[in-house]
Amino acid sequence: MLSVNTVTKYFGEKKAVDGVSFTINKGEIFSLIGPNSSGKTTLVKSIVGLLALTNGNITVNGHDVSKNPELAKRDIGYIPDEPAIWSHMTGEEFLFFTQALFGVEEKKRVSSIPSLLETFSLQGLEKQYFEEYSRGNKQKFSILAAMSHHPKLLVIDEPIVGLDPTGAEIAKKMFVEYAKQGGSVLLVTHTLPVAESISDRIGFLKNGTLVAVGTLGELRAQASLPENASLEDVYQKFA
Amino acid sequence: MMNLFLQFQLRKIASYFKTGKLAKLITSSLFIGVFLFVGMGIYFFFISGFRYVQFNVEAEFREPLLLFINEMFLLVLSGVIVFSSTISGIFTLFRGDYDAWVLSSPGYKLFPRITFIKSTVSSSWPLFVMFVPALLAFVTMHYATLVSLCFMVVSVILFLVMLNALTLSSIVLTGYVYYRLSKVIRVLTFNFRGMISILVMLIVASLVAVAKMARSVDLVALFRAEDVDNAISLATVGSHFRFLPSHPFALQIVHWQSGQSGEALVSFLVLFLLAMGSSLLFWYISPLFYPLWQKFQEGGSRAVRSDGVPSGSTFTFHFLGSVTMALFKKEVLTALRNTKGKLLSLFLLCLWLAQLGINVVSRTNLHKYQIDVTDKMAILQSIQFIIAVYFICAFALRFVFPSFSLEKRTSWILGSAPLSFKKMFLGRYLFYVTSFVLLSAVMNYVNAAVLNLPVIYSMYSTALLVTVVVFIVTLGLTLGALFPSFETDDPESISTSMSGLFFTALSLLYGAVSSLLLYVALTQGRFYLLGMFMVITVLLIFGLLAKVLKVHTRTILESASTS
Repeated sequence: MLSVNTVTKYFGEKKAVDGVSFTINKGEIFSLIGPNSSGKTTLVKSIVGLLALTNGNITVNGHDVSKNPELAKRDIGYIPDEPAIWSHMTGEEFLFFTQALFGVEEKKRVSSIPSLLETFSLQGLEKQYFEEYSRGNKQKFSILAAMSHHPKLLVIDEPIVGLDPTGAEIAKKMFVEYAKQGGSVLLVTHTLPVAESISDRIGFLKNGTLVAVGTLGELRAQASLPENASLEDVYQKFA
Repeated sequence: MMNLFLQFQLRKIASYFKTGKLAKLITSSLFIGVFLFVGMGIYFFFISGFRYVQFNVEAEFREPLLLFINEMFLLVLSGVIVFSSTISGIFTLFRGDYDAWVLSSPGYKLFPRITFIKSTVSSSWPLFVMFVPALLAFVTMHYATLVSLCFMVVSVILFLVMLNALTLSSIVLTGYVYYRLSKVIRVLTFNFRGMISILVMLIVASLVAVAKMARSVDLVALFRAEDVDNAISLATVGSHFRFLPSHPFALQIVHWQSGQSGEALVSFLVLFLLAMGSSLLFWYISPLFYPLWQKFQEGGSRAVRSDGVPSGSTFTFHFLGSVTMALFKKEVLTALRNTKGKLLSLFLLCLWLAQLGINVVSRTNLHKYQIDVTDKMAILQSIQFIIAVYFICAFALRFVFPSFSLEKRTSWILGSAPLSFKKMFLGRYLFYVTSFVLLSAVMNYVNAAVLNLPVIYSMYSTALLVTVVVFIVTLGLTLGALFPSFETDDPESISTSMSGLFFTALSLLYGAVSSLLLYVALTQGRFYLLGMFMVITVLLIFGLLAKVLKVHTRTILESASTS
């Protein structure tokens, strides 16, 4: 579903991402972890077409993000780390707007809203402006917006930050269910227990380079750690 | 604190020139060029005015007329300063994005005082562009001494300090009274929207009062032009303005002009005392700001019921139709719900209403004394035209030009959607072209109707105006997209960036050329010139669109993401 091939990204003289390659298959949850400034968000922004690549290429469902951005983006649902949304737009309007941008049929837009709101028990809050929401509710609406057009690939940058424990659990289950139905997930996070519990494979990014990639078992082996070592232990080893 | 502020400003200028030196030098030169251009215009306007008063006005009218001109000039400037300080003041005081850090520190009481200093400094430099040429013209015509010039420069600063202190005091006091009343009267909900509504009501009420007074102004009676034996005194004209805070300054200028140094110093002293008094007033009441700020932190701008639903109904946008229509409606939504933007529009509309008021007074007086101005119709129409164009330029500078730059934080929404830049641009373009063409057509029609200008003149000017307005909108949006500024979220700062000033210079120049051509066409019957100009304008519009639509979405998104 997602293929990242020797991607390099420079900001002026600074190399933020250095020849990163990995793939995510259909129905797979792939987590990307790593220290601050390791290039995770830069990579995510490149995948969703917010940044141009210096070298390499990225394809989503066979469409090159640089050459056919509109086709590639049609299959992506993006949840950013900072859910900045127009402050005077309501949550309900944001869902309508996102669906309009992704070409969801008009009839489906209206009928889908109640079930979307129900996911996070947001009924009754949909008429409030974004400036009136808490950080967590903003995050919930941005998750729902990303899911609302049924993408094939979900790109999530820090999904749990700001969510209450109930909301975090719902979000986790939602991503797992989505993957079971054939969707692919790229999860970028510092919340290691979440990555550990739901990921099929994990990649470790350090100084813009993918230093390790594999299942948790494979990562333990690469890090020469025992079988009961947690992802936290693996992280400390690679960091 | 001031030292820190100055250091910050100097470093900002230095860091600006670190990259792209040549391009930035060129735009800086343009920046200075715009101000020199505006300054020269003001200088020659005052020179011709002072010269006319000096050589064409009878001696007994001279001083009263100068006082009247000074009073009107300062009154308009006061209105501009007070209104713009109200808008920037209320948002800086209560709606800043990153103020929680300062307000949670032990130095929180300094916050409104620093806002006062910042507000005074930021309103000073554009004002100096108007005052310095006016003062130079004054020196040229009245052979003023260096001492009088120094006193007047200091007076400008005192004038600004006084107006900003009075404005911010009014905001804090109004808010505090509203806050206390809301505690006593249960139906009165205290929220930011209510605060804005009260301030708008106060502004509208004062405008209505001024409009009522202005409608009955009889210039001939005011100057007793029909009663030459009983000439008007300075005190008689001054009596109409004596309660205005600008009066001592206006009086001081006239006294310097007539060489009465003693009287001028007395007026200076009055102004000094007023400035100090209003600053002390603000210093004293500024701590009242804190409980208001705390209260405004509770939720957004609207009152929210106990069940979490906002009180009052809000229309829900469903974004039906094509993607371009969805983007168009998003622009409508953000424009309709942008309180600061609406206040600024009200400010610009008030300026236009002030100009309209002058037209009403002129029409009333021309009609009353049966003065025939048939031969002046072409120049009147051209002046109305350029006024409409300049207001459109002001609107475009504040709303159209920063449009792309203001999307920095939300750029991920459109950037990650399957949209071409063409669609993003067109949604916005449709919105601004539609609203600006409607606005300009209404302004032009009302201006012409008030002065009873011939219908055929209005038809020509409306056709030309629509073309020019579409060009200005295209230019603003194109330059804003090609040279976005993601260093700030403040539209005022974006508008006064180098590319913003470049847009200002170009659009003002274009407006001036079109107005001149209209005048030539109306007076000499050379209407083919208008036709040619409109064809060239349409070609330029298409050229700009062709250039901007080649831009790749990522070019803009990349700078938004990395700045």
